[in-house]
Amino acid sequence: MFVSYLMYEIKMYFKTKDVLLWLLLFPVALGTLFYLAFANTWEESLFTQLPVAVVCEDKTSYFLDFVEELSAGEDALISPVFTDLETARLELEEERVVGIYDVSDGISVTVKENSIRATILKTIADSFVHAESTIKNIAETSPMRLGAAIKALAESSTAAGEKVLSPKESDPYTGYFYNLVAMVCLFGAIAGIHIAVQNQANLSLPAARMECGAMSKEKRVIASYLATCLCSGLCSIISVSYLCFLLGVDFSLSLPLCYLAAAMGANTGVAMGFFVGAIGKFSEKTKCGIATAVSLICCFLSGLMVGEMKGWVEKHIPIINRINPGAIITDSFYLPAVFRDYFGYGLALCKLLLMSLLFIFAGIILLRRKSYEYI
Amino acid sequence: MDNNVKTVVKISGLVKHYGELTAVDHLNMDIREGEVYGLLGPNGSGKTTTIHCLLSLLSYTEGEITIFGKKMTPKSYDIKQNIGVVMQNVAVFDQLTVYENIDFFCSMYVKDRKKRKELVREAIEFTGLEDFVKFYPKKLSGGLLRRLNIACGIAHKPRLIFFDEPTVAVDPQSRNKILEGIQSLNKNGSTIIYTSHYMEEVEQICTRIAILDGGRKIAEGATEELKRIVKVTETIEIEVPALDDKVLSRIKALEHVLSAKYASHALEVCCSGGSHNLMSILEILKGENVPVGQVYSKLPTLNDVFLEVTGKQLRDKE
Repeated sequence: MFVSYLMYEIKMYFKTKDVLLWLLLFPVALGTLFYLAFANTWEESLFTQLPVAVVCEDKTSYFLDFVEELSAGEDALISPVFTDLETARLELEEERVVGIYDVSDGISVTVKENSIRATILKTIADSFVHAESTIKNIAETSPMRLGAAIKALAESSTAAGEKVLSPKESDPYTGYFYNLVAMVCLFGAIAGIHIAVQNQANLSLPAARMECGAMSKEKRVIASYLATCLCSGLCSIISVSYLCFLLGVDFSLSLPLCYLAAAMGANTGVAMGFFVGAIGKFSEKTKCGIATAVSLICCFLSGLMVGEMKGWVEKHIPIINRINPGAIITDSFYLPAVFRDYFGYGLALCKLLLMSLLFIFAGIILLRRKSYEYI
Repeated sequence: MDNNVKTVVKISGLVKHYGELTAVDHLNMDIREGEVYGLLGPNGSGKTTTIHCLLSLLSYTEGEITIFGKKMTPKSYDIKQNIGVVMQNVAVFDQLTVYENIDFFCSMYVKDRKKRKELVREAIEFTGLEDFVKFYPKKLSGGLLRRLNIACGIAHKPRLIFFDEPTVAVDPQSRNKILEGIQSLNKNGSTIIYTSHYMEEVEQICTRIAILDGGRKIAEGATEELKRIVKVTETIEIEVPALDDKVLSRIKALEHVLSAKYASHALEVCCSGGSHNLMSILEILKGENVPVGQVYSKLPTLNDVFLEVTGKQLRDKE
């Protein structure tokens, strides 16, 4: 009885178009869209030495020393090519250099188009001009303080150096993909609603028929829940696999742990849907609308639409990040991937489990009624 | 009543309120094993509410319901094991095929797969759905959907089957098939509770009938017993081109004639009892040299019973 019911629930799950759309096709489409949108931006932001043409007839210019300093060593910012203006323009036209530093009359920067790399070149030139002007001013007004000023400038330069917080360099856009997985998990709520509706005789005709049957409501709910969790978990795992293997998103976490986090997230989504489905006598469509809205708000607050949102929430209303399942699912990927924080990973999974249990408990309490006043 | 016949369903003092409205008002009923018990009444008379209370789908304000001698509660799974339900609205899953739907609902009663397979096959055969087993409900016509609805309710061979208006919006061919099926289920030993507002259906298949109105049982008995309630046992209509008052008065004076009227070239005579009313009327007309056209004799219907008891029609004219 139970096994047969479970098998039919699984069959019905994969034949429900809405569920397949939101839990399989939508994340795959959105993931692909993210991938295409971020690919160029990410490549641009990857830091490599910037090739730049330097046109300088005055070999005594301090800027040449500055350029040499920036191009020295393993951490070199730029890779200069000293040449004449005509060759430099040709090099820029053929995109062999990002820009031209022309030191003939002051320092001018020529770039072919605006980009992050062009901005870096401009910033370098601006910082030199700023420092040079500061030193000149001090030399003219307070020459006695020149030594201290140069020392201060050197220290500020050191202070602006890179400090590695995480043991692993992370793609700043990967967070969006973690959020995408969180969204897939929370969309499991749509399927979760079906469990509750299918077991309320006042909301569904087949439910009324089943209520007259010889199988207890408890058994039906458990079988439906298991089937839905299994299927939603599978959809999340498929989404993670798609992002990981086909789009090459770096989850930096062993695959089984990734899958476990996705499955736990899906379980929370289903439980949340079950709870929403058990509230009130609204139609299944209305309840699905509520669950979708709640899922999207959770994902918005965890940074699906605006990357910095989670940080903003953490700064202003941190409690939201503690209770937002979207943020917790994202954490379960982010913490071990970026900070190697496996304790945080475990804690996130425990929070998801606790949340699921609370939702299930509340849902069962609401569904526990024995017979209906109206049908 | 035969004392050896078991009571399958017993309703005592059932009351169900929907807010201010009393949907079922102190209803008492005994339904015996092997009966096809009809619940007849106009829309809103409390038929479906009574069925839902019997099935413990609805809570009720007062009263007690016992089925197979045990009190019926939402958790009476041993009782439910022997009950089949054919809902008023088609209650199947769109994602499952005809076969899968029947098997799914049957699986809620029957564990053994082999046995279930056989029962599903029989239900398909019984409802004539052999050619549609792989169809999804959305591809079925209204009549076929109704048959699927029935197959889902009876596949596990229940001892007691509730049919709640199973022929609503069904073409005559499918309706006949459904009614024959219900009679066949009854012959095979199932007790049937059948609700409808189609009196001709109830007359055709039910062995005993309760007429409901405003949540109350206003009459109960076998069809013939109910018809005896009606004073007018026969209405005779005779096509007559012309009739004078003298002849009409002679007809009115006949024994067993309750009333007689002549209008639009038709003489209508209502009689109570008596076995030779038509002959007596025809003799008078012949004696007065009144030419006679077509002759009709109508026996009372359940609608007449309802009209007699409540003073209103059983259902709206269609």
